[in-house]
Amino acid sequence: MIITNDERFETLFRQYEQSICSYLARLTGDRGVAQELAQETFLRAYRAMVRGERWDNPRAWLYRVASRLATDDYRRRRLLRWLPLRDGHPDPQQGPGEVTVEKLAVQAALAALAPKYRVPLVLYVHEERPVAEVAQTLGLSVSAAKMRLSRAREMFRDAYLSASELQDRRREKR
Amino acid sequence: MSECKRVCDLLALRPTDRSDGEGRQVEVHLRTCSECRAVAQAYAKQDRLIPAAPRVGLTLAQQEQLFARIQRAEKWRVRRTRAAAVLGTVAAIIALVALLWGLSLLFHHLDQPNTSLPGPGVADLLRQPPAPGETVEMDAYFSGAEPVFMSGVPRPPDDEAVYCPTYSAWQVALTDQPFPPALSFLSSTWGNVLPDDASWLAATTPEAMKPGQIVLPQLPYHGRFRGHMGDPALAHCPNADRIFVVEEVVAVYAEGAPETAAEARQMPEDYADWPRYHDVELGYSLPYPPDWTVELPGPDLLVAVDLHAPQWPDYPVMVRVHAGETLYDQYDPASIPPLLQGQAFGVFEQGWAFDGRIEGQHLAGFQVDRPSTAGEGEGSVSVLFSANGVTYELALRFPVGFAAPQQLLTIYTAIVEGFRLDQAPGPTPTPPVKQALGPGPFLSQDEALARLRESQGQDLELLDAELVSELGARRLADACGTFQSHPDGVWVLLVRGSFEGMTRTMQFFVDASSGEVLCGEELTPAPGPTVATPDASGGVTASVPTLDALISHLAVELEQNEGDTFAGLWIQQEPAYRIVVAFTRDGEETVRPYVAGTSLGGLIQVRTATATLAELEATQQEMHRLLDGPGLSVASGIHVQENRVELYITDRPLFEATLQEANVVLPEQVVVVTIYEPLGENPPFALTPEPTLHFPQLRMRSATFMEALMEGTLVLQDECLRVRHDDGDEGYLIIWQVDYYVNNNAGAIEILDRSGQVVARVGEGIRMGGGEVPMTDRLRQQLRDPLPDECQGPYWLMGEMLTGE
Repeated sequence: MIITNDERFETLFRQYEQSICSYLARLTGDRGVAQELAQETFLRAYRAMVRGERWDNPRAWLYRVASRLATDDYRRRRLLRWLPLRDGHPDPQQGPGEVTVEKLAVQAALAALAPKYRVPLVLYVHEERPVAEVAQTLGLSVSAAKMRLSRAREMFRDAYLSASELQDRRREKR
Repeated sequence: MSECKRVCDLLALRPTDRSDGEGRQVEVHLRTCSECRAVAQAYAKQDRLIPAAPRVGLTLAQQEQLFARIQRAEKWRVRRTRAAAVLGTVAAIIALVALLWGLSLLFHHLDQPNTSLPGPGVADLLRQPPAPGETVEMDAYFSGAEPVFMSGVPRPPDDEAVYCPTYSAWQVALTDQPFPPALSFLSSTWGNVLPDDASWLAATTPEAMKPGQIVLPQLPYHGRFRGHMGDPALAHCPNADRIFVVEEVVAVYAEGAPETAAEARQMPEDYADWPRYHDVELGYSLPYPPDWTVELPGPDLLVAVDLHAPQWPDYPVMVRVHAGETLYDQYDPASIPPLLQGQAFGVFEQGWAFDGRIEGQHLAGFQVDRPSTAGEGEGSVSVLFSANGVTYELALRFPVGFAAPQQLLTIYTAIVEGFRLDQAPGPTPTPPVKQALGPGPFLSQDEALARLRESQGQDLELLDAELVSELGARRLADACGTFQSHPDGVWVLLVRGSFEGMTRTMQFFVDASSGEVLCGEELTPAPGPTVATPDASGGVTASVPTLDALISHLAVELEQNEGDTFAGLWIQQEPAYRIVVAFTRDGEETVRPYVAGTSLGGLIQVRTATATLAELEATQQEMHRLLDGPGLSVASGIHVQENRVELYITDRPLFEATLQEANVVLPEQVVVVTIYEPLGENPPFALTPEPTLHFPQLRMRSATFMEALMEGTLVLQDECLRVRHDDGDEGYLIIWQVDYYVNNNAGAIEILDRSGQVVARVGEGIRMGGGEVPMTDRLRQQLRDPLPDECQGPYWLMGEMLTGE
């Protein structure tokens, strides 16, 4: 049986499109940005396929590329922080009542983490990847990935506390 | 690393990512450490919160867009492949033809006008501007072909205005020579400076001139452009006489910027071969390119070196070492250190440039812009790292504009990224926010209110008042959270009064020592009911009932009211999030009324256990009573999931022998877990003993450690090892844990750990955890050898040895 690149790509796309998109949404906090970056991720995957690249672990490859794209996106925004950032696109699948204080606090806390901490944390907790795969995806040793995760957890805990306090206060004021 | 830190690191991982030993270590530690239990709960909450996001996918339109892009890419690839095949065939013919025509063409071309010679340039147009609207042609380089900053330009003043390209002329510049629009250094990219006196025009196109939108022109890097100046639609723009509206691209000399521009921002290829300059005295080292030289700038500047490049002799990378660390207190701008004063500065951290490929120490410091050190047409940058009582500054001046040397900036970045300290700095000092209330004296509540009323000139109604620490005040505040200064205590006064013509509820922050009003902010109490939940002290606090609060409340209620059957409560993460409650009988019926009407209802899972929690606690106490006699160092915990008591020991053979000797039999529900295997008296490395020295040591490693910190100098007094803080005090006599060894190294007395590493030397500084203890009979019983009379107290029972600063 001959499987063309197109078929291989389509299988890959169908298998990972949602998870990559959701992962990027969690990383960037912006559905629109996530969708753009997901397209770019799969476009790169296709190009790599036609170049003849073969992957032992296509999922890790996709997550690595997606993580890099999200990090680059973060850096671009950081460079341009003196300008108004793009407003987050409203989520059409989400009713207004679902935007809870808790969700906002989680999003704010994640946004407060630098990508080098946010990426492993989301890979590990949101995507539930084993620590060895997190390490592989990020090109780190397992021990370095563990340290990164520990620090990320700690930072998220502090950031979440601050963010939820702020959200609570805002809500009280309303 | 402290036990807590290690356990917190392990808590960050799922149980499946921990080894058996690590898992046991976590369990043991959590039994006795409430702080780490709080961390465990926080991390469990993260596991619940972070994944709780809606799934996102590409819309159908986006999927179609992606596949269309792929099809285009595929067509282009096929064309290129075919073209390559055709070219391969044709190449031989061309070569032959070229060979035949070559010589004759060569002579003809010398006499013919060259059609690729540049036409009039930017300078020509500026010198002799065409009439407004007159179409002209010119050759120019276009800076915007390198799309560094293509997004994020300022918006036009209103929706009807045409965007002025001169707002960001540097990224749409037409010039006679290449102009790099952006300069990359450290982990940032910055806009280059377009000199006012240089020849440049700002490009726009008819498409980009539609009112109310920003579309930057898409033009080739180098080409011949046809267009006009003096367009009336752009008359409102600054530098309107420098705007060139490109109507048509007549010829393309180069589509994109040469790759060398981008390559210059890549990590230097030969970085691995760079030598390092090492200043042992000042404790730092840094890499530099092999063809650079290191020079001392002068005898009066012994704490400085300059790194000179042959290509840019006037622009050395300067390293300076200043006395004192440079730290910034955001709550006290008046205290900005001199090295940061009067300039723009921001935080810098190693590891961001070149995708973190340069192995550094992840030092954090400040990146400072020093315009005063730069001349006309120059930029400057400094990076400051603070450590060990000094500030290391790595500074660079560099030309901007057309001559901006991206390569120099890239090398500077690599030097900064590779900068290392011989002695790694300790943690960043805690910001000077006071964490606890100071000693006072403080104003009374009435006095504070009086000061506030006086400052506001009105009789405010007091609703609530609280005296809190500076940290507490900042946490309570919203907009006021950044009040300046560091008071010992703050009165937070909730008052109602007339402000700006309306009755408002305000929260004021008053320095509890001086009475100064630090800040005030409007606060509207939340409408609607709140739920009362018990706090740790048994009091009642009004708060929003989070899931965690409900779970804690349930656990307390069950333990208090259902003690004869309740066997414990825990949270299960996998395969589904559940709150598991265990009872010895009738669990379902027992728990039902406690969770009815709460959000816990659907999350409860009931299990049956053999022993109640109260019985397990009684067993635990009995076990400790039995072990008290033999003088064993043990710890224990109740494993609610397994419904048993666990006893944690550090030396199983010694434990069993002691138990047998004392004729002690442990209760049935006790499971013994070994958490440490000692090395014993014969370590696998050579030692030269020091027989005259007394080395009081436990015979069994403590199962739990005290965690107070002691710092001082290890000294030898009366042949006993002590740690003194300074010369005047008597110091502590150390009771060492097992697996530490004394070694006489040619007269120098060293302490080695179980890996054979030297962790302390007599006469040198030492840091260890632990705590002061009285020399009781029980402690004497735990010592390997009797304590000699010369070794007098006070005594310090060692916890963990700490290394580094």
